[in-house]
Amino acid sequence: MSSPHGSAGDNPTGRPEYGGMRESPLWDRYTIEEIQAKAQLGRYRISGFSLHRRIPRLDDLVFLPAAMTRLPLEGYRESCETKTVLGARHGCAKPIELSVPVYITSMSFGALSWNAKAALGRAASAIGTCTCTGEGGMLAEEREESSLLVYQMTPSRYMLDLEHLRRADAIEVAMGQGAKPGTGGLLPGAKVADRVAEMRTLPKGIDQRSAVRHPDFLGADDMEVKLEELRIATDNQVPIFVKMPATRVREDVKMAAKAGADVIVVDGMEGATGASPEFLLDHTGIPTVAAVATAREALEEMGLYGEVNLVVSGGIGSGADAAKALALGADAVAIGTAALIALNCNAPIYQDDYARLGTAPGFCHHCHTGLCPVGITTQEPDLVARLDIQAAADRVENFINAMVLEMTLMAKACGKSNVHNLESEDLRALTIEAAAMAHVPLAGTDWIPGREARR
Amino acid sequence: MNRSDSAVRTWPGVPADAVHLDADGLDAREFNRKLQELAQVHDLLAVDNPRARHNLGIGLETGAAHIHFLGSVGYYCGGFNAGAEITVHGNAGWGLGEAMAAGQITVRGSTAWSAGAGMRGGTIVITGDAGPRTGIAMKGGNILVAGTVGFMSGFMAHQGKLVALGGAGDALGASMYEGRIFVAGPVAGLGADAIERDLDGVDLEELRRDLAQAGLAWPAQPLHKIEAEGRLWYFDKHDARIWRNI
Repeated sequence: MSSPHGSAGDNPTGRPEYGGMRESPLWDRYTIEEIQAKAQLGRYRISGFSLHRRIPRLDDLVFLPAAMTRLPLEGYRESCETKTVLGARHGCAKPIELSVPVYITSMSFGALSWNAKAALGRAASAIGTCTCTGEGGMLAEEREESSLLVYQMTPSRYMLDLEHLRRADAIEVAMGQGAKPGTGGLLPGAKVADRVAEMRTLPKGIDQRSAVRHPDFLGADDMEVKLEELRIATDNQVPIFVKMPATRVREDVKMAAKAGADVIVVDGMEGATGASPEFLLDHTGIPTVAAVATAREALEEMGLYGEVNLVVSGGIGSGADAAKALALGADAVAIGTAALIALNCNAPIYQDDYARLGTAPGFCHHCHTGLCPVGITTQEPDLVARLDIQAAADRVENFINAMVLEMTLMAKACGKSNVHNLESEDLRALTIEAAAMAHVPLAGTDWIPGREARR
Repeated sequence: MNRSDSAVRTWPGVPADAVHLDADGLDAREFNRKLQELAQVHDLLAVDNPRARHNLGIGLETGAAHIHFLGSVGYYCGGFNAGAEITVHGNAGWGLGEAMAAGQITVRGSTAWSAGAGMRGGTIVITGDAGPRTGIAMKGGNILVAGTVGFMSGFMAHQGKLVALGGAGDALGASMYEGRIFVAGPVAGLGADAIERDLDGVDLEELRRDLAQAGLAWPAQPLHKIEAEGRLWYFDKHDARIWRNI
């Protein structure tokens, strides 16, 4: 849906004004439309995609490449290491070894079509990175295409048994997601097609709202027992990830580390979804830029930074974002929406079908309708067929390669021969908000709001 | 083998020719590794001194020995069971037989929270009482309880059958999909969207067979069948008042 806001134009009050009419800054057209939509629906709005407001972002940070005090590497000539190992903490037989510190985050079959899942798996395998099942169980095509597949154990436990556990290259215990912390997944009935229903053991066509609380553990102490059970069941062959939404990051990361996570995935409020009560997208969690530094510090305070790996997701859309996340302390980033956009999400094709949904390329967030015009977030066979797996996989592979080229170029400009050597000292903030959240100085100052000056 | 507390007792139903494994002195990983090795070569195992430790008998597969735990077990006993037969001669902690796909677990005692959580198949028999959230998120199989089940049992059950012959706590069968609950005796209250329906001939036949196989007596009090009404399955503004308060 397009924003109903017009330009404020030249008017001294700075308030929106249209042909002499003044719009209330409080009850603007967006707010009026919200209320009237709810007055029709009788419930909260549901939508896909990500949030609808501006927040401080990794974008508000800049790097300080080498000049006089540092020596840069030749960006176009010298090499820069990108290999990333996740999950060696408890000595499992097969830690996840990625060729790059970027992987495809958890997105379910159900939210996504089978061929979108297959294309993401194929792209990840071509790159040498991993994908994650998301909550809908383990799709056979995804397992086949993905050389490294993280199997997500959500509270709903779809398809979870020994057979599927042992097919996984890592287990991710999901404690929530950045899009809607504290609330379970949502899959509208239009997408609960035959195969989706079967994999989730659900009646076909119901509006599925998944559980949020795990059925057999509640806190860090019993989670520790649970993680040990998973290690025993997998004979300690594979690492255990714990994914959490970015809320009380310092405390939550410490509890997950204490409970025995090998890898902690922190999903910022930008984290997207196939469907969510819309207000949760805008009003829950903290931005990714704030989550990374806090998570790193939490692990440092426990003496576990570097031993427990940190993955960050939520709104990562470029190599610059990824490099900043690494500099702030992440070992890797996971991408979701950016990978879907590379697949074809919001591509300017099949425009009539966008129009039928009341939207247009560049504005579509209609994943929840199950009528995705480009065949990604749908279970309709005719729409699904619009996504060619090989061509889509090629685009995602290209995009991740482009991200990694951006990361390595940035690292070399900062004088680093390994992207993991980027550090928060390499960063400055363009806004006071980002400086306070990322715990890096405001550009041109030594000031980190809320902290003593470093020097 | 050391002389131990559990070894000197006699355990009804445990054959004398069972091969014994002493859990004392082994951490959970070592214990499970040894148990898996022994379960592949013997038909009948008895575990001495389980001492309510967690994670005993995890991920056992079809063809494994029948395993008797001689005493109480802790959390997640028989978790990810893929076909083994397990008998616990004592009580069990949280998450007994969670994510089980096949096999049978019998507890000659009572269980704590969340027995059979998310199970996809197989049978759990509990001769005592079962705690809260028994059969939560279950997706198949049977849970047969001689006594009571605690509050929120059958919560969000997808499929499968939960039978409680001694009554149930509050919020029984809350927010289920296609699971079925049969309960005899007092029920403190039904959960959201749970509704009582009449038992049919198929139900009765199944229950007679299940209880007979489990060695449980037919209850003196009448059985009630609880299912989902399905009013929470769809977002419909006419049901907004139901949604609002749950």
